[in-house]
Amino acid sequence: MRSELENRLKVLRAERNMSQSDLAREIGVSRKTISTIEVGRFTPSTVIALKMARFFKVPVEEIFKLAES
Amino acid sequence: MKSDRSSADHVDIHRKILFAAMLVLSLIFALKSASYLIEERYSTYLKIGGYTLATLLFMLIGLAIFWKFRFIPGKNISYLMHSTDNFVNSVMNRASTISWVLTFIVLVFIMTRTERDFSLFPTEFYLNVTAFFMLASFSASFFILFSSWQRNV
Repeated sequence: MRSELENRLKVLRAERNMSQSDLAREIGVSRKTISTIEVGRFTPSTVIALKMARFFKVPVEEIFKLAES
Repeated sequence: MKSDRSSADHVDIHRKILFAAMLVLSLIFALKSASYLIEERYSTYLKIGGYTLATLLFMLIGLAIFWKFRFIPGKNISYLMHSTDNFVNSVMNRASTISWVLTFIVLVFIMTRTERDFSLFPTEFYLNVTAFFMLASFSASFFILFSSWQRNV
């Protein structure tokens, strides 16, 4: 089942030349968690979304947005 | 040993080892159940299989304990092991729900098939069958859910 949440994690990672493992280590989750969030298979918790926003220094809305139905 | 894996990655591995152990334990219950269904002359094979699986089970449990204390730091162990922020714990919760439903269906099936007359086999047989289904469905669901996500990455 696809998530209703779209994200720009892959783009943000690419801009900073980071691997999924690098980001996982910074956020404190597993690489699998990052990869499943990126493909929209796993909806991150509020805490993880905020940690990502803080790490990338952008508002949460710049990383995640609701998919247009 | 230097590793690229984060503590959360090690929790993923720890969970996989635990669920592998659970799968092996379910097979032990399956063998115990089978002992009531097959002929006496095959019981030796069941015993050998049982001892082999029990050895494997102890090795996996030992490995899981080692992994936990060697690679998962104590300061945030509770968060890493239990928080649904981590994908593996979310998968574990889903697998437990699936296992609960399947075990309930098996119990209903046993009750309807036996018409609540449990005298055909000793109580231990029904307990072993139920334990087998519960543990096998829990561990199989975990591995299927975990690997099905992996294919989409």
